[in-house]
Amino acid sequence: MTVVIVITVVAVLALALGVGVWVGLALYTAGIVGLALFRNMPIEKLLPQLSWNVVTTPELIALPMFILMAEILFRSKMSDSLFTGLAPWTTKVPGRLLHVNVLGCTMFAAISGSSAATAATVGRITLTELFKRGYNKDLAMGSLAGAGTLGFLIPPSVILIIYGVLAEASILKLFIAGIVPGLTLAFAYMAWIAFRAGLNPSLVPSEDLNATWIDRFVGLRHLWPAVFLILVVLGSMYGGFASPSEAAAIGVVGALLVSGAQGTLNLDTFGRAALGAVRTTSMIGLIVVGAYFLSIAMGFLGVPRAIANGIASLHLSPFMLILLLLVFYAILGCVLEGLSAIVMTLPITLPLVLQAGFDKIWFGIFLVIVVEMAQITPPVGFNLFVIQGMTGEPIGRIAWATIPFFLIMVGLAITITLFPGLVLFLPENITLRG
Amino acid sequence: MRTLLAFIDGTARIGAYAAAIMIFAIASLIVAEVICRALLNISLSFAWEFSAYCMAGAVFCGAAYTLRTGGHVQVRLLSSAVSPRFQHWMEVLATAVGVVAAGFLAHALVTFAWLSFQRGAVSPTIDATPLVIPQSAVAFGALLFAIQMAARLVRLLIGEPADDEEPRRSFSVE
Repeated sequence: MTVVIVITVVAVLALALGVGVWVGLALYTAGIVGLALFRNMPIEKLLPQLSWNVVTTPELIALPMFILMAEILFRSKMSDSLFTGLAPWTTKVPGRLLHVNVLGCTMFAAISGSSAATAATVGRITLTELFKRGYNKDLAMGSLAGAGTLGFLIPPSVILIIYGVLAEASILKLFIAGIVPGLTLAFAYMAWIAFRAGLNPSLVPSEDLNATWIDRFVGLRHLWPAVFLILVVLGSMYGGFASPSEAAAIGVVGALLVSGAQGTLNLDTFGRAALGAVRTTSMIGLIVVGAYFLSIAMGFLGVPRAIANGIASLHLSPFMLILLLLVFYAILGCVLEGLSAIVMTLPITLPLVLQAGFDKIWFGIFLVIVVEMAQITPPVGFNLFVIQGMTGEPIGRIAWATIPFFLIMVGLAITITLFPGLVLFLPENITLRG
Repeated sequence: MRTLLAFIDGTARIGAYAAAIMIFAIASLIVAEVICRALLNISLSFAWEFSAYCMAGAVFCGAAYTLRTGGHVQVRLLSSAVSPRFQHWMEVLATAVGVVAAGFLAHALVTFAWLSFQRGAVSPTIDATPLVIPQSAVAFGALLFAIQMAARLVRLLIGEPADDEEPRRSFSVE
């Protein structure tokens, strides 16, 4: 019987998604059809109650706050000041200004919680500058697409907030756990850029770009908006002064101050930022409520237990299980956008992984790396779309240029599976309020 | 018909403005709470509760506008591989399913709010907020969403562009 139920629910979901029904509504539909066919339940009472419960979860408030903050900063001079401040520091490293992509994304990721917003904000100025100066286009676009995904891994992170709400894990601990893997990833990207540029100097123009140490330190003054916001947002959280949602709200005020100081705050940008935040909040919100309803419905239908039993009968080692999930998510990530892929599979994969002896916080970080991979795999990859929007290059070429960075992510996913301490050391040894 | 479609777009925009105001209300409430706690050592108990209501309201009130401007996520894998004619009918089918799903959602949420009103349900906090108030905002948003979905179906059938592309170009952060 359970096999029939599993097949029906998956088929309805796949069919709805395949036809092009909006992800949130497709999740609802699959849950409704499953319950209507196999369980005698008052769906019209269950549906609104569950939707109401999840959408009023206090932790979810951080979501629109971080989104609004990114929307405001996208319309400020943040990207210019990051470029001016960081560029002099890269003149002696092989690959030179290409590293600004990674450094800029790392800094912006510590302010923003979204990957596409990070790629869009940083890339707006770096891509123009790199193309103009004759840097290799593929390396410039690939490193931006890859580094943009740091927005999800380096806290704050929209994905970690949603994972924390759905998996009932501490968002603050998740945020702390993302730091080391995030910085490792940034370092690996820079190492790859330096390696490529060292091997093939023609990728980088031979312009005479010199900067003295005085230039470098004087240039640092351009970084004040980024440093100020990192201190405000991360400082208030890690200082034990504010919860993630509170830090995000303070961050909105900080972003408004920065935008005001840079002279980019007017009624037009303000209105556009607000409506942009509404669009993203609503888009993510609909997916989250749909996913929550489907996960509860699947629980009633006994789907997670059936699949867990099925997988258990395969007698996989924990490492093989994770490897299997990595392949599964990599394939799913080609078809689905990362957030949707996670929320619709979480009710099944989370119990599986916990049963295999992995930590909830650890799995959150693993999933974020997986979403990041989905973010840059065609045909559906938001970061690729963002870069396509900025450069007009075909998706295929951008995706091709991104492959090395995709492989670096796969490497990181395997590394944290072999050494979970990389993720868990910080959250286990830092105790914080909240 | 055109006037009706334009009117529905207008309601979606009003919903979006309401959602934008609610998002700013969250920011103000939370910042006020932090300031009061830090400086005056008093906790504004209602700040979190009302923020959660605003979040619920913002998600649903913004949904219609987000649909109109092509902001909701769709999988466009199959539709990019087939002829434009077939693609059009897939779009019609997806939207028809959308009308049913969004209609059911709106129906359920309106009933939900109505039942809270009838029972006089209040929140289990010291503020004892009548739950019908925030739940009406959610139901209203869900209703706008379902109506916008129906309008989308009409647009597809009379051969008008289904998504308003203009904002997508100016809102480049997704």
